Amino acid sequence: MIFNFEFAAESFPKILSAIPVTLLLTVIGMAVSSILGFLMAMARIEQKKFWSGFSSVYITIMRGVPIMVQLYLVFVALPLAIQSIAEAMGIKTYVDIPPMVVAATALSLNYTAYMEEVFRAAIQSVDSGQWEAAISIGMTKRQMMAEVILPQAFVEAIPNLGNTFIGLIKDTSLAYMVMVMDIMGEARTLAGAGLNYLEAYADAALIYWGLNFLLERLFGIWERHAGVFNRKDVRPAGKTIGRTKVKTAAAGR
Amino acid sequence: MKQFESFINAIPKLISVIPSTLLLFLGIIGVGIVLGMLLAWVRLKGNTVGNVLVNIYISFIRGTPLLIQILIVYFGLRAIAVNGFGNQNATRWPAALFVFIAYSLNLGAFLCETFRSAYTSVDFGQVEAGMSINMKNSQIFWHIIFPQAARIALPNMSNLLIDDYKALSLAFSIGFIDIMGRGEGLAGLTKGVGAVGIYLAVAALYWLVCKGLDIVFRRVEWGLSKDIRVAQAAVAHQTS
Repeated sequence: MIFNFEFAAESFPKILSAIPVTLLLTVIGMAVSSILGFLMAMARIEQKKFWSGFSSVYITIMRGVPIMVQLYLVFVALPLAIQSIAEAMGIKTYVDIPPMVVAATALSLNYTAYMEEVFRAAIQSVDSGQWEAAISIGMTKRQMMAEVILPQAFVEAIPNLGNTFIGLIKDTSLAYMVMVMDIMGEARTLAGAGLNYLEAYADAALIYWGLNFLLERLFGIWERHAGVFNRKDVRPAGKTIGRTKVKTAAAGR
Repeated sequence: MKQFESFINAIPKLISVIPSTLLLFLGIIGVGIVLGMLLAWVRLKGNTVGNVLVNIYISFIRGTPLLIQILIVYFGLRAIAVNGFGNQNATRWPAALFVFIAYSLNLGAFLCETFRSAYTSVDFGQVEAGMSINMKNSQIFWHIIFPQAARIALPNMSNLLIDDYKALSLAFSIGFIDIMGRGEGLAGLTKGVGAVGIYLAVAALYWLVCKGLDIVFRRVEWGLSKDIRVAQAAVAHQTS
């Protein structure tokens, strides 16, 4: 028998029950990398010398090294680092870091680089007229960012956020390499008993596929709602809004 | 210091596996490009059934982790060969074979999207111009659309290929030895002592190879855009 359908059907709900672990890992990774990535993007936009240099080096390293290698590096280096810090402070301990923390750290560090690019591209895609308009009415830098630029930039970022989120869900599947019991981990454990690897991994693939399909739809809906001010088909007919009119008027003068 | 020592010691051992992985990678690129072109052709010119099938295939490849795809190809092909055809030798097939198949299938699906959007972004006026001088369809494709679409597709394609090279590090889960696989083996031999140094060496080598690939792809892009640059220079010369 090539494919044991009975086993696949039996283990499907068990693997399904591991979805919260995968989602938790994804959400933690997304939250941390969003915050760090946003700070880095702002540093680069405002051209702070040290931090923009730091973040461009950070990004080339994170993007040039496979996430698998980073995961292993965190796996072996993090306990060592904590242990040596503890020893320097005179505490003798044996450090045992939970696998979830290892995986979350590695994924967050890696995705920070991606999120930085998502946010930076989104902020830079806001029309320069918007920046000028904000300055012309005497807004402070903080007001300009918070009330004019970032709300528009965020809408621009949603499609890329969706792609990154889905990419992150797929990459959490590596976490079973450091013994996290996510969808992959559960599948492998179930398969190990009777060597039904093919069936278990097929189940896992179906679950990931369904999850990502659902998320793609959700992000699509969000994008349509958030971007309502930008859509051609809901603008009032017969009125020109935006820069076309302004530009021609300026040229006529 | 222990870590630094193992870093230095690991480098020559890790470098020794790079040529064979690059060779396999070249094979994957070749098959991936052909598969991607075939799939793009079905999506652009095929009938409804073909279109739906290709769509499902691409959605599956994009919606599931590559790691699972590798494992499914690995266990699936072996199960078919052993249980379906009674070929007991299948359990001794080299890991590189499964890697080759899984990565080609994966790359083909991603390249299909790149090729399709490059094809549709070629201006239709170009096709009309070809028709107006009575070119055959195949001539229009190979002499007009393909050179322009290739130039448009290349930046995206090189990103995908570099990602694919990095993704080869996943293949050690089925026992394929690339830089990561070798590094894991070395770290296992020393029972974890100096593992940080070894994995740092692995990371550094991946980074270097990716940078090298990046430079190569940039050269190719530069070469392919030569006629465009000549034309732009000519226009600039006329208008100035």
